[in-house]
Amino acid sequence: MLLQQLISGFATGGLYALAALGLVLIYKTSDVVNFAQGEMAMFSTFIAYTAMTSYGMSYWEAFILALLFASALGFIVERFFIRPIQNAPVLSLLIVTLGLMMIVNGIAGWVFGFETHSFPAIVGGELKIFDAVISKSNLLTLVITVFIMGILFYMLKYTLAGIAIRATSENPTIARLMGIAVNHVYSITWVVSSILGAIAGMFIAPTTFLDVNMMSSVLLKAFTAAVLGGFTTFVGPVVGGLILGVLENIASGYISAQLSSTFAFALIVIMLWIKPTGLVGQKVGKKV
Amino acid sequence: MGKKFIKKLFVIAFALIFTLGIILTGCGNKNNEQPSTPASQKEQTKKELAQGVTDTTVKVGTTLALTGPVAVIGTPMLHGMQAYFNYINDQGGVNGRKIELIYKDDQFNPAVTVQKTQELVEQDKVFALVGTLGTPGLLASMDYIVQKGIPDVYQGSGSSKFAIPFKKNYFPVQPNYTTEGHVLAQYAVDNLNAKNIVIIYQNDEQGTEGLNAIKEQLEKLGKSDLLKAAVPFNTTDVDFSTPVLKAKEANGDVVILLGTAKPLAGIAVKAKEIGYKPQFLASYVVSDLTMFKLAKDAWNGAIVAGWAYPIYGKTENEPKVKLFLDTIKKYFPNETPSGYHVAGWIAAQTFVEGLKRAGDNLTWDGFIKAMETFKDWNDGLAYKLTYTETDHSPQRAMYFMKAIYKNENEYTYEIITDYIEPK
Repeated sequence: MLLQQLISGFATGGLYALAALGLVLIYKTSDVVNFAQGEMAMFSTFIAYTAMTSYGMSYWEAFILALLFASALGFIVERFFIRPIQNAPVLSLLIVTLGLMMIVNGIAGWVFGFETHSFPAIVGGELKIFDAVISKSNLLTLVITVFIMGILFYMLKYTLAGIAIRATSENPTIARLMGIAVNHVYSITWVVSSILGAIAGMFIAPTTFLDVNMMSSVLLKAFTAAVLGGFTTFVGPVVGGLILGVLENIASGYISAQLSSTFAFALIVIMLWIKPTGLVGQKVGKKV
Repeated sequence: MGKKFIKKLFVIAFALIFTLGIILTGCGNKNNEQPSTPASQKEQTKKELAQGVTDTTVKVGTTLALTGPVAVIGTPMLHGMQAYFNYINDQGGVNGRKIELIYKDDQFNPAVTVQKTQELVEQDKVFALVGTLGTPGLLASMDYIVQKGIPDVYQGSGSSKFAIPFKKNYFPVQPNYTTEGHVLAQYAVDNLNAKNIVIIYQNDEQGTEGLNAIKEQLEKLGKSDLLKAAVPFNTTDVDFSTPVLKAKEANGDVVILLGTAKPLAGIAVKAKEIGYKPQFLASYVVSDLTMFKLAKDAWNGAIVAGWAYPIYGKTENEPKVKLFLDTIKKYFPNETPSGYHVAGWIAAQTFVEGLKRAGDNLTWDGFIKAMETFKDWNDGLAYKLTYTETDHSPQRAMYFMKAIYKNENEYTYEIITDYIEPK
């Protein structure tokens, strides 16, 4: 039972981590925590679902359509909701993303309805590891999460675009003076993060089923994962997500099932108390 | 300049969307608000009648969720009621009185339910509340309704609090989770010959009430030792491997599932994934077809409780079922008759039966007395309703159905037992 719980915990943790990566990307560039991330992901997933069920597209066509839609959505949100107030205090930006969360959720309910649907997985079937079982789709999620994490890490560290993003994050004014198109950088991060969200949504939906509230609990766990592992790195949320997934299962298996969610939040408090930067987070100099 | 213009355009577009939304929902409310009829007030002086009753009309009210996530239940339930009231009105009403149904959308928000209930009672002055929906809202408005003493027929909720402790003006119809727990336990022991029972329950009112009832009944049957484990889960859980693994570890051959469709489907899928195949036995809460859509073949073979008279299969041509199917088809031709239509239909039917029995004695007291003459009333789609002066317990008997999943388009529940009453 323990092995199965560990493995299932890893599988769920992978979902949390994937959802957290988009959050961290936006946070790293603009210090904004995008509360609407989950709802935007849910909306894109619904686009894929509608494309498959109502327009008879294949999984991959729908997948790509959803990614295209997600990039447009990310672009629009940044261009029309975030940019006009980009010089406002971070708190105002947080409120805007909170508002966006409700707007996107409301519109999704209006357009797609409130029913719960099943969403196909990329691959079916299970894999046996000793006594325990993991679904191939969950395994693939883990692989893709680590892969995306690697790409983001590499891009940020070694490519020109990455350097531009880091410079913008460090000091937007000086970055602009150095010839970096700061607005483009913001645009790109929102587009990429929205795409990451859509991918996360389409990987999570087979497990949680698809409805307008599918991301609400996942996103909370993604936050926890990011805080636990460190909001400032890409490795952080992945480590945090996996640990959270496993800890949740252990807690509900051996301590109390009623308190498994409570446990996650207690963990945030404890983490912030002991090591505010997260397990693998580095200390970042405060912007002045 | 261009930037500003685009911004403005966007604001306008959003403003439009929102006003449209408000107007649309607003319309729904307006349609049904009846113009006040000062003429009818004159007639009221002749006989002593309760509020909302004239010589030609009886006004009743209901609160349901018609927008928001629960609208998928509220809307068909309302239509079921409207269909039956229309059918009765087309025949000239009850004792010459036509029934007017005033409905209010509470969005499944308890605060709104309380407010809308007060509106119905005090402004619209309805004679009775019929077919209201949603446990949190109904519990929130319960104190007010008890204090007013207005008859309240059929609560769309499985809570036992409407029947226990006894409330003079409440007439619950659908079985509560306590009654259901008793039947589930009995069926698992008597018919499934369970050796190791495991209960996986939702960590909320529904789950815990059902859990306690199952324990109670097992004790009554002297079979408490059959219960090997009771494992809770939370609706917000993403991964259900722990409850499933615990059930497997306890060697559960019959696993009783108490909860809502989404998590229960997640549990069924997880069990299939790890190759664990117990006999699932589930609450009537998931007896609609959603489970097939979510869990697919993982739901094949599961047994689910039911309480309302079945409308498909063998019973399809029985007169009382045919009447239901034909009437829904007549008034709502675009809708597939579902269990929620049946619920609304039963609410209306039960109220109308009470109204018939009350005759012209249409005070609240007179109506309540008439309701208390129900003895094994079985003419409607509810099964054997009995109310006495001291006990307004809802229907006790339930039956069971087996899930049959062939492929994505072919799935159904097949009825496998008669109505079973707990010992």
